Amino acid sequence: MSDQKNLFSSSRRQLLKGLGLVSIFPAISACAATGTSKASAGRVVVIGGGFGGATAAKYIKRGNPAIDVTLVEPNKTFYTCPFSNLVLAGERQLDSIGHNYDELQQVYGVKVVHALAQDIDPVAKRVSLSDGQSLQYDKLLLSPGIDMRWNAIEGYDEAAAELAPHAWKAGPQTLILRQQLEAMEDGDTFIMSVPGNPFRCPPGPYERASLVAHYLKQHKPRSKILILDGKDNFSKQGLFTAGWQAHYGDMIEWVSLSNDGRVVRVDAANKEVETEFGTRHKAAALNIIPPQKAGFIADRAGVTDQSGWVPVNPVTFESTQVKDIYVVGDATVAAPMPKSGFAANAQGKVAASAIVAAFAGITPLDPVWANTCYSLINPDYGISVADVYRVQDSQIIAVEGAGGLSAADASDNIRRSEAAYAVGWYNAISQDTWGTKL
Amino acid sequence: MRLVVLYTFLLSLLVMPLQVFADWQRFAALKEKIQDMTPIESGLELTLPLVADDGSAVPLKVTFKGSLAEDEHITRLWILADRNPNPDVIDFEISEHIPRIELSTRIRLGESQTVYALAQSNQGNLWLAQQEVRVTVSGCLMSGDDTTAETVMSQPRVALPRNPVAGEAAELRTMINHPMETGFREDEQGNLIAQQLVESLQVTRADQPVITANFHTGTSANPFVAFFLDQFDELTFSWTDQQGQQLSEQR
Ligand SMILES: Cc1cc2nc3c(=O)[nH]c(=O)nc-3n(C[C@H](O)[C@H](O)[C@H](O)COP(=O)(O)OP(=O)(O)OC[C@H]3O[C@@H](n4cnc5c(N)ncnc54)[C@H](O)[C@@H]3O)c2cc1C
Repeated sequence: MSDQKNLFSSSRRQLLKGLGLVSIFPAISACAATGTSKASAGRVVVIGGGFGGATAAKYIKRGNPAIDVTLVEPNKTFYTCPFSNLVLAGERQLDSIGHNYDELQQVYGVKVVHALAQDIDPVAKRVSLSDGQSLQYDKLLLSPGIDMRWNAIEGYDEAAAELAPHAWKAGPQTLILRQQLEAMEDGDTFIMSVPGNPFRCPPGPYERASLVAHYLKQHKPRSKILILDGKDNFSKQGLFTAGWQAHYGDMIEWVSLSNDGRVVRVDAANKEVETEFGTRHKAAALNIIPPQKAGFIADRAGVTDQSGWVPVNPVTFESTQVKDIYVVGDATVAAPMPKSGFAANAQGKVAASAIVAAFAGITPLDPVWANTCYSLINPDYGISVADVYRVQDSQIIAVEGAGGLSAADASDNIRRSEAAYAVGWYNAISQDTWGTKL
Repeated sequence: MRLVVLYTFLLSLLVMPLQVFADWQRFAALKEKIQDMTPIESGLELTLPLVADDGSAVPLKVTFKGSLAEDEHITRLWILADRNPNPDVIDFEISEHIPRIELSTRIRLGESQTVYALAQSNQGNLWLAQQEVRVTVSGCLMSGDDTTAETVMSQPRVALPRNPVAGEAAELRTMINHPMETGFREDEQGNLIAQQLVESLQVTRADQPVITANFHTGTSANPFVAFFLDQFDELTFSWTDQQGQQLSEQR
């Protein structure tokens, strides 16, 4: 048994090497792209410069520099959700999770337009932007991430999010929540409302609770954390609950769906919430993570289905509904792959290779991916879950027996190493996506 | 463009009747209820996620929008899942006091499959709706029924609408804590855990039956039912388990 375990963990490590993506790029001769002729091999517009979009833009250029790639992203600096929980805990500054588009432009020759894509005409193959420009494409790639379903919880709209932040997109929202945590008095309560599945980053809320507890334990040790959940179980639950007990005693209380955990109404001005069966809770700091859907531009492109998410062909990540539109990242229905930055980055590469192959008239290979989700229980105590995915019968499946979960009885040393791996992962994926070093 | 439309149309002619016919005809539990009748395949709407990340509590809503004759109303409604070990999910006995058929619950789906809703009126008409659900346990997620939960009912909960007004239809919610042991599950030693279910929730108003929900192995743990009423006084909610234990709440 113990032999098997060793075998298992070493093979797992090998699988996860190189960000888990097993060579999917068709061999395009590099010569095709060189030479003085500036003839474009095709026009690609990428919408969204987050994990999926920035990766795709870069890898299309890497696959064939003669393809004309324009990336549309309103923000000059992209703040990652990964590690934003450390910013909440006061362990990092927001700057340290910001990335820019310099390398994509300067090294890879991606044109970057800082504007919001407002509409898409899939017949004329045109994108209209908030700055009045319109862009023509041969292939369009969307990685718009998520939008909140405003008012799905009564009283929770955009204005309410200024008072009770979701902080589920990093940046200004992260800072509002940080300020609320800083303003808490010792003994106050921090409340977080978590939606039902599917949502961005399944372990994210529980990592957030952990790191907020880490902050409160040092500065306001009599305070409480109340997690009101729309689910009866959650990602890495056993590891989280044990970690909470060990580090924070009973500071964190989790209320499940079947114990009346689902929030149905928010009074943001009074930082009060009401659950399904009428229980009211009042907070000093209130974090509402609302139900979500694909970024609105996916709707405009006509690629979403009734669920609000985008069904895709898993071999190419082309929309199953509109030709020549590829969609990656959180916006897609890629279950069992989670809505993670890791997955968005891997899918960005798959779509990039499919686009490069399509322009070259080649059939793309079937992709294989791995995903690892690290979570920190405190800055020196990490846990992880890993999976390997492939396509079978046109659907993504998790490969059985591959991947795994951190051992329940791992030593503090192992937890410390996993926390260090998490930092290594963060630096590597940031480097791979935006090329910006910390 | 026109060609595509024509092609899809022709294709649908080829495929649709066959499929719709074959689907429920091949499903014994449904065939048994429908027999030789022809169910109306519009008017009843079933809302379920297309992809469920956790098969242990999949939210389901069923709504009736079909047209009824005078004095006709829906009296029975069944939810069935064709690939669960036992296809019975939940069923309802519905009185005329229910102003609108819009029922919500949470169900269990062991694997990807088609879920059916069948409604019957007091005049014997049948309506059928179906939806396919893909069940995947998402990466970073783990499903898991709690093996330690006690198999007795506790915490009966009822939430009336916040500002109920007599005569105006509004939704109310109910839930009771219970693990809903299916009898298909093994404990750590590999022995089957005996079936232990909450059998039903009966709602009465001034001793008149309003609605009864009968729970089966396909009902999720902690049975949840939400429905619409337009009179909110003198209500009694009674849950009964397989041992005959009863818990009641009055409003
Ligand atoms: C607290 C938290 C912690 C997390 N931790 C991790 C982790 O440890 N590991 C991990 O793998 N994942 C983690 N995630 C998940 C990760 O952040 C997302 O899965 C990832 O960002 C998805 O990438 P994406 O490209 O789909 O969307 P995003 O990265 O959100 O990028 C979308 C981009 O599109 C832009 N955009 C949207 N609409 C338009 C438009 N109309 N026009 C132009 N641009 C547009 C947006 O401005 C944005 O920059 C975490 C998430 C949260 C909330």
